[in-house]
Amino acid sequence: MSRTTDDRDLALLRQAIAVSAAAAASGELPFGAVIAARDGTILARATSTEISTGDWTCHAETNAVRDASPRIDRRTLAQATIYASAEPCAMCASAIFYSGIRRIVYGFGETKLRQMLATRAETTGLGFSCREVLAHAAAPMDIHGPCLEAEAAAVQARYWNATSR
Amino acid sequence: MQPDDENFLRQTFALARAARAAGHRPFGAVVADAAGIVAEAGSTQTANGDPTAHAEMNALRRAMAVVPRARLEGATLYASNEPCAMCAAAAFYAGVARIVFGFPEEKLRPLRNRTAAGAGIGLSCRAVLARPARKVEVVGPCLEDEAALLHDGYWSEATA
Repeated sequence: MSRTTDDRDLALLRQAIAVSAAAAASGELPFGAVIAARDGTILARATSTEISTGDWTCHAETNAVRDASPRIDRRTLAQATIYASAEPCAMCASAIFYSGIRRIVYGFGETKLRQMLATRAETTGLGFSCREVLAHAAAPMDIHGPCLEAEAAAVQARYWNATSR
Repeated sequence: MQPDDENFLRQTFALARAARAAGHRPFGAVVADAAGIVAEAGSTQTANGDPTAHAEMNALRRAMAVVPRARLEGATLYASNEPCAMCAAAAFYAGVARIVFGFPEEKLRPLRNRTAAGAGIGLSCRAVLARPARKVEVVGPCLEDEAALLHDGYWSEATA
């Protein structure tokens, strides 16, 4: 089941990181996700929309799953990969599992993200790695990350270290 | 449980029965506080639709759309069944103070796992919510015998 990351994976993860930077530039939280089919065809792209909607479940990965699932058949999703600019949280990891997507490639790791947000009580997360959550899933998941962590970290640092926030 | 808890929990059971009657999975959820029900929903999850549309997720999203966060910080999420990892996390993000649930995850798991489409993530909502500094109080199982009836005869390849 496990498939090592290749150049196409890294190119798609770079797209997710670019989406995260675009999200931050548009006033959203700096998170992006891309879902791609087995052949690399992009099926969905999403940013976090928590700020604009006031719906705190609208994380980038969950948004991407909500967008793709009604449009894309389960067989295609079963072969697809979700690329996330930062490690999926417990909610998004679960949402990805429920969508039938079985492969995750992420950029910035949850541990480092938590350290970056440690001074901000309102943004502290649940403290679960996506591997830990999905170890309890009824089907095996293929998880890769952190990948391109310096590139993903730069977007996070630019956002969370900005004095205006 | 607090005085209104049983009433709100029984409302989630009614929503679960309605969801099942409508062809969805037998789950219901209510977000409520001392002033009454803020939002309620049944599961609308289907294999080809939105897989995140669990009852609790639906109710929390409706609640966030209709009242400010400050009110949710004093509200309770009632669920006919123990919230899954996704919905427990969503409750944390929505800011609710408490979760009160009926049927426990550990007893639903063997029922769900009879079907490939129903097999889920075997984490209790208490485990998901154990680590953050901001605590969500979890109460349950409650009215478990009544909640168990919601699943009677449901989890087979023919229906789930």
